[in-house]
Amino acid sequence: MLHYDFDWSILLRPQFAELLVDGTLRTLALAAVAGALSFVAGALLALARTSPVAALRWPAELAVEVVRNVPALFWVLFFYFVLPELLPPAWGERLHTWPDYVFAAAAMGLALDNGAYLSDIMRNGMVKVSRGQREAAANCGMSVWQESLCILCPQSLRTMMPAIANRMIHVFKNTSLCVAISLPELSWATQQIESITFKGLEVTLLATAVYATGSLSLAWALSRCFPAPGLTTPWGDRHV
Amino acid sequence: MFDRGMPLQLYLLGNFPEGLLGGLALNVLVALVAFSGSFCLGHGLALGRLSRHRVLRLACGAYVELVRAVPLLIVLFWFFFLMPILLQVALPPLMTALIALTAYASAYQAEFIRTGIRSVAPGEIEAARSLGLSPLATWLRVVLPQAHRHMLPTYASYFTSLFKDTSVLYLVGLVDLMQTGLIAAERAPGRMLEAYATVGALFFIVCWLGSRLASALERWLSPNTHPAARKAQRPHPSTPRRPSQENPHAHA
Repeated sequence: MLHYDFDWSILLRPQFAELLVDGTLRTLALAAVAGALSFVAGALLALARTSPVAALRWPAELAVEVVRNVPALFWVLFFYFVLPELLPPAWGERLHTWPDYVFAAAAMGLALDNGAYLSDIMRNGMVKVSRGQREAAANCGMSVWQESLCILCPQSLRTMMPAIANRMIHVFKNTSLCVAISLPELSWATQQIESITFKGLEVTLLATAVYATGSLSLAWALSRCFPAPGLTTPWGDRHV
Repeated sequence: MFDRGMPLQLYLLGNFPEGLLGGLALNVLVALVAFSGSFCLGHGLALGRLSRHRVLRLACGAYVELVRAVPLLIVLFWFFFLMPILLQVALPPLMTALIALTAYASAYQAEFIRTGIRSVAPGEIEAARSLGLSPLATWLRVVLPQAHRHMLPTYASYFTSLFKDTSVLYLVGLVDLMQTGLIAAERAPGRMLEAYATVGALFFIVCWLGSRLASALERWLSPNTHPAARKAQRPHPSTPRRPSQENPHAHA
């Protein structure tokens, strides 16, 4: 006989409600910071990978290959535990005593993982802008910067946006990995409340609702702002 | 580097001969089982989403979208908290994790399979049906082989991604590769970097092989280099090569 007493009132107990609200806000903040950082990292890596200078291209290729083939969780742990040891002792000590280092390490870990994927998307997007467009820009007397900003970026961003949006949703979901370094975000709060009250289902249901609302509304907003271009197949255009 | 304090065996097998299987072997095993299980379940979900019955379509769609919208950790929590209540017995954590990971991956696999099925031209199905193939034979012999061939590189890269996801299992108490690294780092605090480097390298090797496989499949299947496509370009000996070679008296 199935028996489970739902007790929704625990979610309203002041100390747990505070944990959950704080956790949700921290999850959103972490997703925003890591998403923005990964965009910058991805763009820089993509530029380096398409650069004509081999000394820039090869290290960037190697870095992306290494980062993409190791789990995001590893990078979060790496930045939190290993990076302070790698730095000169004075710096490492400073990071250890910095109270927000756990947040910073989480953001760096998630941004590194996502940046590697974004650089792939961005590189493919840049390559797809036809050579004629670049040549035309050069013939019009545009500088390299003008060409990148006015010709390359607007055209490639439009085609890349659906894929980038997809990765940003991944970042939002991956914030839950930071349980590993005890960053008090939503999944950590869920785990804490379960271990104190043994009422796992109620809290998990709430966390599910928050994560699902977050990623579905993010997906909806991004698809409204940047409608996916139809995929052309031999039998006509269709949306996949 | 691998001495008595942190033997390579710890990373590869966990405490295996004395205790439970762990380390890299656990990650590979879990990823393989969850991948195969979710491949089967994914077919059910994908066909459900393409079904004519509205309720089935909505139910499968809701499951797939919900699971894809939440992190793996939350899906794991669900199974770890729900299974003891549903089954009235406590399953071993490895079993629960396998079931949870299979349920999680099947939502993703369902989408790949559905995309593959939708990439098969509708004319293929009409042709098969009008040749007198039964609906089942149409699915098994015409639609699914083409759909799977189309999606092979995606499956391979999803296996890599699922393998990386298995690192999350250490958060629910399994001694996977990530956890063995943390154990080794705890045993010898001065040699933390070594432990992390070993864990990273082992993850890298398996994932790198997986992504090589994915891109090899992609190259093999791309229209320019695929053997079947090359064969198709060569006319079959029994078919007339050009209209001019046709028998001019055929319609007479």
